[in-house]
Amino acid sequence: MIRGLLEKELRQHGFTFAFLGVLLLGGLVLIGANEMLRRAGGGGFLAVQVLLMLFAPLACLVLGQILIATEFRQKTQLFLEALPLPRWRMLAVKFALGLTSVLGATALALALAWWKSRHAEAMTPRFALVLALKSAGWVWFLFTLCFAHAFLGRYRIMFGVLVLFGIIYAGQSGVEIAAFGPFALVDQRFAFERLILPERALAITAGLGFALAGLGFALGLVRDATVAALLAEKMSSREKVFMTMLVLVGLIVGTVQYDRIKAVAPVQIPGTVETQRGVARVAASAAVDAPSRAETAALEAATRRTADQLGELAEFLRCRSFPPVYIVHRRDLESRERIDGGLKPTQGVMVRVNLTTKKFDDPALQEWMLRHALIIHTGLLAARERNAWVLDGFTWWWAHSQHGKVNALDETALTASRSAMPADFSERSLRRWYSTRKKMGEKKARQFAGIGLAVLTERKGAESVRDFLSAMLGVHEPADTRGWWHDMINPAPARLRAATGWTEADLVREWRAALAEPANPQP
Amino acid sequence: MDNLASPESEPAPVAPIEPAVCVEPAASLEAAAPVETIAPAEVVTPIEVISPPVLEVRGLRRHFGRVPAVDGVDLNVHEGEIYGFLGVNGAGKTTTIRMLLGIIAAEEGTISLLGETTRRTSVAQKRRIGYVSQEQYFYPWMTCRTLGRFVGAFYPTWDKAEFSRLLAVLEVPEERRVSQLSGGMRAKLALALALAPHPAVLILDEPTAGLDPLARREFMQLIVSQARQHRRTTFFSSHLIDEVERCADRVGIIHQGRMRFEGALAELRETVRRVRIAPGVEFTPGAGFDTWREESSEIERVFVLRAPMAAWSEFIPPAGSSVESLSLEDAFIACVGTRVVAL
Repeated sequence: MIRGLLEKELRQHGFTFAFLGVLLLGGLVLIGANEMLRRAGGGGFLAVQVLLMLFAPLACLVLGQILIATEFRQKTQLFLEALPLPRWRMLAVKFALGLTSVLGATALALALAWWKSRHAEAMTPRFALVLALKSAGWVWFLFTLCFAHAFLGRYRIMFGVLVLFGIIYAGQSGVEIAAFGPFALVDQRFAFERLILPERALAITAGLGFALAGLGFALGLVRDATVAALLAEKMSSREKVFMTMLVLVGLIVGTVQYDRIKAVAPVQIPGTVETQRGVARVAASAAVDAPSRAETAALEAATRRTADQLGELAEFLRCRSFPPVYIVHRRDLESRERIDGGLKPTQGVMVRVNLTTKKFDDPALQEWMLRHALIIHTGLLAARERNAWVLDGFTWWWAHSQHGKVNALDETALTASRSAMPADFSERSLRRWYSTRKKMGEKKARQFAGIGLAVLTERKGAESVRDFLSAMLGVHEPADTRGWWHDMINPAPARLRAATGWTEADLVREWRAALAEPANPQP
Repeated sequence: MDNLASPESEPAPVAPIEPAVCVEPAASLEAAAPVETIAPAEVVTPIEVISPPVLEVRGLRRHFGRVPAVDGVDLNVHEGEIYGFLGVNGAGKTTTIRMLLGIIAAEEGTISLLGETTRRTSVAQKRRIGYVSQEQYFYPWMTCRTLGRFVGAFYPTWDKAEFSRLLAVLEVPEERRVSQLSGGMRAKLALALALAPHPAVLILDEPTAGLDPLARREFMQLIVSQARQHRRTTFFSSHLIDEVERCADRVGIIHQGRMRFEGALAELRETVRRVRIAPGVEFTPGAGFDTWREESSEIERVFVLRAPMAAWSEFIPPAGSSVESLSLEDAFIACVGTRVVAL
């Protein structure tokens, strides 16, 4: 009976099994031969880890789909149910076949790595035990997850996307996923840890696996498998729309709740010089053991200038908060070199520069700061293509209007922009700003966009423009789906209309008119 | 894996199945003469209900949510008889059969099958049942032969030669993939799969659904012929009255999950009659009369009543009234309470 079922599965999915086998062997050969991995240490076991991270999830997912989901989708489980065969045994054979296949592939990979590393490393039984248990635990978790997942029928793709999204989001939000249960088994110590068995992670993984396997079997057996059969039915169009909305709302609510309970650790820089102007806070530090007097003075001057500018900017844009800005002085950098500190959006902006070079370009640093602070402040929305013309224009306009105090629309700027204006300039050019900017060149595009803001100022008044800029750049948005949602329901054209009464078409028309050739050019 | 695909040994010489024995639907209640009798007379004789029940069901219940799909069904199927399980769509036929096969569990009631009484049919009991479902969900990539090999692994009594013989007789190509078979051929393949292990009981769930009239008749002829030749207890569901009338020894009528009638066809014809009452005549069915249907119009009042033969023999209709026998179709319609709706 069991043999018959196994033969059926192997024959039905022989091609997929063969494909996975070839993939496994090919992956092993390629990764095992990689010189870079060899140099990184860990022998062939680093290759095994890569396989466990890439091949095992794919194999488990595919096996879950072909062994379970396909059976229910094609309704052939009804045929099996009519045979003198307990339903649990049908599922157990599928479970055992899938698990054995992945475990077998893992064992093969480990054996090959062991053989490859036998002359380079001390192979102890303890090391073998640690590696085997960690690999088996990880595979057990993956397969039971995919086994249970396959029973979700028409909801399995949606569920898979949610899980994936959740893991990625959690990882980006600072949650130490690598330290949790099954993920801890394949962390960076996988190929190197020879003695310590991660007992707690193994116990969590085993429990989680049993729970997932139990869930899978429950879905496949409860109410005589009618639940699984019902889930395997195709989704109607109405249900698709409903589920999509549900997922979106779920993601937004989940994100909000998560952000509420999670606090990001503030950045700590030793030897910091700090200056606060309104809501803007700037901190600077030197990445040297003992900064010289000149360096300390440069740090103080830089924080003061930056804080002054950002404070004024935040006030102009009516910001209730502003991301903290960190300047790190490094002697090894060139005068024009600026390195982004790579902070999380909730932590602020960090830049690494050399403040003490002779050719140090402070205006360029200030502009860089302004742009990056606004991008972070708006939850990256200011850099979104359909909003980016405002940010580009603002950086030019802010400097040339002396922080919004004078009219930036002078003839020199107009003449320069006149030649740069694309012949087909329209609202579409604003919506596809990055394409427009690429055609014009970055510097010219910023000036061109700045002219647009200047035209708006001249026609609709400074206060209207300030309202518009405040709505576009002054509102703090979280860098997640909430911000995206806010931007979707209240896009740039709507904000322009609310603040100035103009549509994008009105703006473009006036913009073009301002840049048109003068009627009687002076000789 | 290989031996699953390996060619089978040559099939045994084909012995033809005896042509079927069917009784045409009775033109009248009195004359139900067989019009297509090909097999010897002793084979065609319907089984007398004297043997003990092979299948006995008591108080079977199953709900889907709040809907009672089967609501206290009692059944008796005797050894060697052909039992027609009649009901309209959604009456509870398939649910009852799925419970008989243990595919779904009964919430209440017992199933006595081949001497063993359980709530849910066991695997051992299922091995002695041949089953043909309403729709065939075979693996499309399998050939008929590989399918037979696969199914045969689950039955200790599987007869490979018999399976090949059945396929040959039914004209189903052994080497053809299931995906390349027509609906009729799939039904025949299902029948061959059900018969090859020599089951004691054959259960068929609307086996001719989706077949054309010719294929339907041919299929039912095969079933009847098999049942008669091997004295195989056969339980088949249908909503086609002529099919049941032609083939079944006894019938059970299920409606809204409840058994409305169980007995021989003759009993149904004899015990259910239509009484037409003239306008203005007072009439109330007496004790022992079960009213299946009652309709009133300006011209007359019509009752369809069921009562034992003794009650009918003593029944004196009111003046100006008449008593008529019913065709099986009329009796069935009266039983399930179906009304004609004018659009």
